[in-house]
Amino acid sequence: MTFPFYLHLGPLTIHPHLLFESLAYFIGFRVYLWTRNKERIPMQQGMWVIVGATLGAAFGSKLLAWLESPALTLAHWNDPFYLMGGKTIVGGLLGGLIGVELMKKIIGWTRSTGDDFALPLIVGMSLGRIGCFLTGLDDHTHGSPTTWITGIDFGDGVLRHPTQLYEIAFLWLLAGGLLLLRHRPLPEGARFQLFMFGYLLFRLCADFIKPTPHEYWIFNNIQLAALAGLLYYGRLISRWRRPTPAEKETVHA
Amino acid sequence: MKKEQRNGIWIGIGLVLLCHAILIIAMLEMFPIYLLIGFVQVVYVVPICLLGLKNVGIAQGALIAGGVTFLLNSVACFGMGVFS
Repeated sequence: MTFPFYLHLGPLTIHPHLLFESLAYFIGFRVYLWTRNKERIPMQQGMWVIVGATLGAAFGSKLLAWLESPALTLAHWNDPFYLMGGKTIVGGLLGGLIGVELMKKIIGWTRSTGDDFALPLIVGMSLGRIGCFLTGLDDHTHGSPTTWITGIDFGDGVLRHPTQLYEIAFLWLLAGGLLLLRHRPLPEGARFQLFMFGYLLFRLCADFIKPTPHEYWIFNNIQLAALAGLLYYGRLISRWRRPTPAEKETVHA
Repeated sequence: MKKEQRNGIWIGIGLVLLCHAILIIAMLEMFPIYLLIGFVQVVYVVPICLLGLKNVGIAQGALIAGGVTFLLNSVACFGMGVFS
């Protein structure tokens, strides 16, 4: 097997990342339409939430990629080819979250919408990571050299951690965990919060075995964003058990 | 959601994809515009969104297609290269 693993469809030779990323968006969207709770949010508002998520993800994924090496980005600020290259899933997730929250404010929707996104995101991200794996070294998502049995030779004779495959395995473990919790009486939005907390924690750890520049003390740009996300979701999760003022009054009454 | 709006979403997506195709084919001999289509598409995505004043689904579809195009434009998670 050689990397990138180009796919041949008739006269076309398609880059694996383009194909699997396109599949990720399309199938992720279909899974969302299929699994979403139809009573939680009407379709029209739901579509505005999707618009917020898409635009936020586009902006966030690019912004975080530019922060991988701020000096390099500044040096190429007027090179559109450089600026269009690169994106990050963590930036996409956090940007998507901000986009959804802004859109909910605009359309006046106050209820949580995140739970419907957990499974579609797991499906989409798993598909996308297949494309990253098949792209090989060009994708810069592989891990550091290793002697582990899991090591993969991406074409340069060096065995490296296939962090893309680790991520797929982790995402499905996370999906299993969320499935086990489906009958638990959790607050609205809790499943999405657990998904984000779990994924960001994984990325914080996994990026220590990636050969990307760690320009912020011992962290890289993605780990720093993951830390910020962990603080945000950790705070939200820690509030689950606290009784609301109304509940407190009931207890004291 | 009204059927008209639901159809509007697909019309919005279709219009953006059609404009992508026209632009790529028109510029094929001059410049590899598909490498920058994430930026350039603003020129037609915004007017298509304005059609959404009559049918909000068209605006939603155009914005979703524009966002996904922007994401897909940087083909790899780092670096570029579309077709070999």
